[in-house]
Amino acid sequence: MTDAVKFAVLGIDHRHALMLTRGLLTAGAQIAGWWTAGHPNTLDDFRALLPDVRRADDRRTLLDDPSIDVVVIAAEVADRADLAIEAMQSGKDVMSDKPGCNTLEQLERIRRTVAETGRIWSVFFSERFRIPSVAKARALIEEGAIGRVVHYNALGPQRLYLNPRPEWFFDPARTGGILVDLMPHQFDNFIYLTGAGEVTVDSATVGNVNVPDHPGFEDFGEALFGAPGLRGYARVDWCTPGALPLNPGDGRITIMGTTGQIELRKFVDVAGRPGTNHLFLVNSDRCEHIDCAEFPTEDYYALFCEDVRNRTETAVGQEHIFTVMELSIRSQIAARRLAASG
Amino acid sequence: MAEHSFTFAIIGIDHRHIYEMTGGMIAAGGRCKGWWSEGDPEPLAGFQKRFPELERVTHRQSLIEDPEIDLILTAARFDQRAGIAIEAMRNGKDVMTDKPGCTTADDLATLRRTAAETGRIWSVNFSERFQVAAAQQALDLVQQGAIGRVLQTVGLGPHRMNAPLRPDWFFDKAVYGGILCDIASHQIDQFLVFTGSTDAEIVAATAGNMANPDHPQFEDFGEVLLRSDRGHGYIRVDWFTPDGLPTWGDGRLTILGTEGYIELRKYVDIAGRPGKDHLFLVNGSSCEHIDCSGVKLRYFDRLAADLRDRTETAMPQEHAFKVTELALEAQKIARPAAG
Repeated sequence: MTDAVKFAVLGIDHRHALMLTRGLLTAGAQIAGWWTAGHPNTLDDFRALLPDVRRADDRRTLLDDPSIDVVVIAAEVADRADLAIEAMQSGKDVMSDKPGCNTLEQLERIRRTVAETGRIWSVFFSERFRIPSVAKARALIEEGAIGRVVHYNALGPQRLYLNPRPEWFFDPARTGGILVDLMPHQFDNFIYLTGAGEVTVDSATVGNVNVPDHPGFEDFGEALFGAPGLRGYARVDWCTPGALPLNPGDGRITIMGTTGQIELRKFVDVAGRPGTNHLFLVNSDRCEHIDCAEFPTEDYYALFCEDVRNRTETAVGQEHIFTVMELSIRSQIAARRLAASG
Repeated sequence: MAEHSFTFAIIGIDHRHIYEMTGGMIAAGGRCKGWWSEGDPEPLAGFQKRFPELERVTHRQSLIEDPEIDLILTAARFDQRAGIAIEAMRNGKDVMTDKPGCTTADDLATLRRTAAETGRIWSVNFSERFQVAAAQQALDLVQQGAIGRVLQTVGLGPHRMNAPLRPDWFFDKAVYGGILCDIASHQIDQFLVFTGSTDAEIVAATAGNMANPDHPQFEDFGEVLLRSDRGHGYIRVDWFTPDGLPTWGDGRLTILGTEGYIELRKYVDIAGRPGKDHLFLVNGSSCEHIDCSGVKLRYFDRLAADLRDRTETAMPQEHAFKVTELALEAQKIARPAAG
């Protein structure tokens, strides 16, 4: 028999709390309760999602409840690591919004806690999991459709005022900065798609190029990196223009192999075809658009629940998550910070 | 027939780019007095087919020393271009060279000095901008403020290798100068122009042979990260165009501004719209595809005017030098890459 996985939510400061909660509920997990500090601007929406679930006054009542298997964390970024460690030490597995932490010191404590407790620390990489065009690209690459991969190029624009942003969002001391926040998506996709071995970051940049109201905020970031036999570049930004339909932005990945190329237009085919998940394949004998909307993806949430029950790593490898977070944090630390321009 | 406004000659047709250079200057009102090239280069048959009326001369000095000739075009072997240009300028001619205009820093220094001493024009035909209607249109849009202040450019410049058609020197780094010297110069040109920069810092560069063991000296991959006081740039160039692509390369340029972005699909909209010169503009009020195929190119006409008026409307002289300097610097500091 398989009892439903029971989970609690600690920290709903980022709207992804809603997404992660819905995902687990859809996968058949049951919510046992939630807790958050203060009055985040997501409160009304979260209560509307779960009108019958009580907010705990003290998170310990959830952490001490032995019937709860999993803790979902979408607190302010700077608080996520401590909550995750507290949860794991209380015997819970963790599903965290990305980024799961924002300093190397936090990451090291998480690593140690995972090793000591045997708990799962999963981070939800929303620009890969359940995105059919990424799954299709990986399948094509594994079939050898573009030969050996030699280059990965990614543009990851985001829309700044998609939702009302809380004050902490604009404070790099509390988020960790743009590379900590957004580059995990890119390193995750890079390693997942190319099978890259040991990744090294050669150069990185962060800056505030277009948000003078929040001078400390970083709206532009880039990293140049490589792995044995291949090179990569990624740019992330908060510069999606108003007239672009769909969200969050015109995210692109271009993967060049020795005999072909794949381009992903994940979220929009600008001024082109309707819908999302457009893949373009060019190789020796093909030059075509592939609509990936119906391509099956692994169900991260269901696999995660299986992993909780079976103590496996099928949803995403534990070491992979550590690697992605470490590369992102190291990029942020190494980044040259631009003077405010204008 | 209109009277010709200037007279030109051609020295070196070793690269096919000479076809469009010649056609462009004839269309701009030039009279071609003759051409010279060494031996039997691959572009010869195509050149004679396109320009059967043009006369091949047996001595290049007869062109270099002809006082009637205003302009020399060259698409000679890369390592010979600087020498041809310097000799032409010293004989009172302006020069339009195929890119790269030279392959060494010493040659560049001599070119700079010669242009300054003689007052002659040394123009490099950055064909991935000057001969691309979408690029010209994008520059007009940027200068009109369609995407605000430019923050960054990302240029992907894949090329088809066509190894059987290439001469041996094409694979010899000492002759062609390396991939960044050669095809990244286009991208550096576009970075400077679109960000409005007059100089840049090469932050990082890579060049190497990722997948062509038959030509170990050949660089099939290169990249440059660059930065100026106006913006950022990333460039990738390569010789990996797949056989199934219906043209020589899926050249892209993405220009990110404070109020929007522009993407150019210069030569093909893969598995999409027919033709070339596709521009995509997204800003606060617009999200559209713009077909630039009807835009009239202006480089050749402007160069013709510059010959006459001693102006720099086609391209500032210093820009041609700066692009070449940065490409050579990137090549020099590039870290190796291997497959």
